[in-house]
Amino acid sequence: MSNLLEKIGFVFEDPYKRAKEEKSNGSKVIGITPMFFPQEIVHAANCVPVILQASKEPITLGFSHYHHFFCGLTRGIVDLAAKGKLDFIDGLILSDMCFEMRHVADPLRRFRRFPVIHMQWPLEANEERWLDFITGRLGKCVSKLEELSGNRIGDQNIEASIRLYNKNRALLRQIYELRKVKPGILSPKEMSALVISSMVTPVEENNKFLSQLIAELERLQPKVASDTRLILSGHLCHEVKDGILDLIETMGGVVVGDDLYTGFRYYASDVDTNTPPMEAFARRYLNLKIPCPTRVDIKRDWAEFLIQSFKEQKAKGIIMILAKNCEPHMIYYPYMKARLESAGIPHILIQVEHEMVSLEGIRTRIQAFIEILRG
Amino acid sequence: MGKANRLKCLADLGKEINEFYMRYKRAGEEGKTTCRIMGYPLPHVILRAHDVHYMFLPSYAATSAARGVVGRLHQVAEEKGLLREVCSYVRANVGCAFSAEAGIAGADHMYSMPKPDFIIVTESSCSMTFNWGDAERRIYNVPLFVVHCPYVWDEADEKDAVAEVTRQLREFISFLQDITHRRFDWDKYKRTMALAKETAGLRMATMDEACQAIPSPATLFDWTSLLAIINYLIGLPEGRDVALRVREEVIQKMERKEGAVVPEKYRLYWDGIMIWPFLGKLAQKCAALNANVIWSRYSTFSFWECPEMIDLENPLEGNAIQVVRLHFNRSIDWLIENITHFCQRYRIDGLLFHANLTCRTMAGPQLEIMDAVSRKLGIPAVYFEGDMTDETLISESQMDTRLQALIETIEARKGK
Repeated sequence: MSNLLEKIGFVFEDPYKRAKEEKSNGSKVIGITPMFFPQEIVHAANCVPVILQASKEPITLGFSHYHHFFCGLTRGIVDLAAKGKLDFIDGLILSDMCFEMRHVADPLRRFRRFPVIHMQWPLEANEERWLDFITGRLGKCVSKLEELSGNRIGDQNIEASIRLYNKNRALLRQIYELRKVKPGILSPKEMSALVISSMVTPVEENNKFLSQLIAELERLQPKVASDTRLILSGHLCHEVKDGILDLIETMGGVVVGDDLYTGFRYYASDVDTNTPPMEAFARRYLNLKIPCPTRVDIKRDWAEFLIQSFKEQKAKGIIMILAKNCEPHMIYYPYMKARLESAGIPHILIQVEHEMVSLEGIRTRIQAFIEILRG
Repeated sequence: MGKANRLKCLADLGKEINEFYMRYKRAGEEGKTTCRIMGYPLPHVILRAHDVHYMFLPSYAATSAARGVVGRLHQVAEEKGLLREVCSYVRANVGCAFSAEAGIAGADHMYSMPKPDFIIVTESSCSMTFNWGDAERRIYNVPLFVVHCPYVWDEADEKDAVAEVTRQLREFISFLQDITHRRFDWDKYKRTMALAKETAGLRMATMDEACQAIPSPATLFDWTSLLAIINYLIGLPEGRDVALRVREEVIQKMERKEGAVVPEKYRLYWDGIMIWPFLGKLAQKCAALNANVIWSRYSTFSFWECPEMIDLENPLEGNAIQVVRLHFNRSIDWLIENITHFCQRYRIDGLLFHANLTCRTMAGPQLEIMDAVSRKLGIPAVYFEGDMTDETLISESQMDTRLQALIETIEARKGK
């Protein structure tokens, strides 16, 4: 087990290690900002897609370019770019999902270290009226990416890429299910690492790795006897800071479900292979399996989704993790809080910052929460 | 020590705003259609032409703050679970929505507003506004309509963006007809747009002339007060009349060479939303230092900033253009180029940036603008942190010292 996981240990140190190696072997590497933009399109351009991760460095040069009251993910990207540490990418697709991410373009366009391709998503999900809007904009991105990569992106290439990424998501879902029936075979941090590796590693290699891992996991027995079943929710577009996820199981809880970005949210749904590719990508976006509070979604309700997950997983409590200054999440929270309270679901909100997290404070709160759940 | 000499004719605007909210409340009580708007004041004229009473939520928060009654609204919102890092406009309005539940509805006439029949979000840049609209939808359980303006990444994108917003506004009119069970009167809309065009045109022309004059007869603190003619009175003869009165006073002051700051020694650019609870105080502070805050992208590149592009034969497109060309919707290169141009045109000596802790849309490009414009023009720039409505996030001493530092730097450079 541990030998296999060592293969992706790099994601904790330098998530871009594999991409840099591919670059030195002559491949073009294209960065993608979270969320939503299909890695498949970049892959179909014969480039290595890399979803940018939260920076692990203290923000220094970035302070001169981006205010401290923006989220850690966006400030981290600006900081790394200012330091030249994203120079390994040949271009960046700026997936315009919120204004904090949009304004990352301001310093990046002035730095002129790499070209930036803009992809705007409508703020409303689950509405047929946005279908043409999305397909039109994805089409523009394809043209710009063709120009940048020098490779034509035909439907056949995209369809092949979709099949590879659907396979990747299916493998991750298989692990997710295994973990539910065999609690403890993978820690929350390890599960998160698997998702991150799918975001930053060539998909062919990652699929092979995940298949081998599944074979090993199937042979393992459950490792956690705890009956304090928990659901993790939130942290919408980047990984939860090191240490926090593992704290939960150290304190005696067992994670049986999540809707984290570096979790179920990333691999919950596939791209339909029976629909023309651009429309299929648009429909995947418009019918998010896990409702996203960053979108207006009048047909589905994130709180309802979480309540249902809680019931289905026979969970005892929900831990909501909020990335500081993530405004969509903060705005949704009062409604979520009210709904969970009226459903009688115990929950706790933990706010995580880029600069400093008092792990001891969080440990105390999680410990108290788990003790309350145990009665 | 200088003295403030602001425009006198704006003193009565408060009465017009009071009457606006009274009309809105009466409309709710009489069962007339009411709606809440978030984002840019784009649909105002359409709604007015269709006799729908609106409440423009950013203005509601700003007005509550300017009148010193916003604190309790913020408190109610925080009790419901909204964190202090959230846009303070949102917090004010969520506080308003729960004012009755919190038992404060009767404490001030601004606290109690009728439940809307629907909500509309029209926005170009601030994605949070859509989340806000969605939150209001959940609170009131009423329909929500979204107009999402595409971002003008490159200037070539502008034409498509206008077409896209025009298409969405047409959908909005269908939505409006469905919800009110009335046909939209296109002739009335044209007439209302004609008044809007005239009012907005007067505002832009008067500002431009006043900002060029030395000394300038008006100040940004006047221009931000004047935003009421867009947010509350656009499309009404009353709005046009205010704009005319302002123009008259500005021209008279220019003829007398009478400045808004006496004597005017320093001319400043302001970047950021106004600090509404401190508007009067800030005007005094700047005047005391003989500094006139001349202009801002907030007032000049926004709020129906290109009325000359409204073709009354195609009013919907003219309506759409206003949001597409908004500064929030422009690239960093456009912002730097245009802010530089107008700072030269208005002979600006220094740049003052209000880093608004809960308006990240406004704050987003600020540090790049500050660096680039300051270098291009060779003039100093400072920033201080604050907030548009939340006084607990404003450090007056920081504001004072930064402003003082800016003036001293300008003075030192002038002395060289």
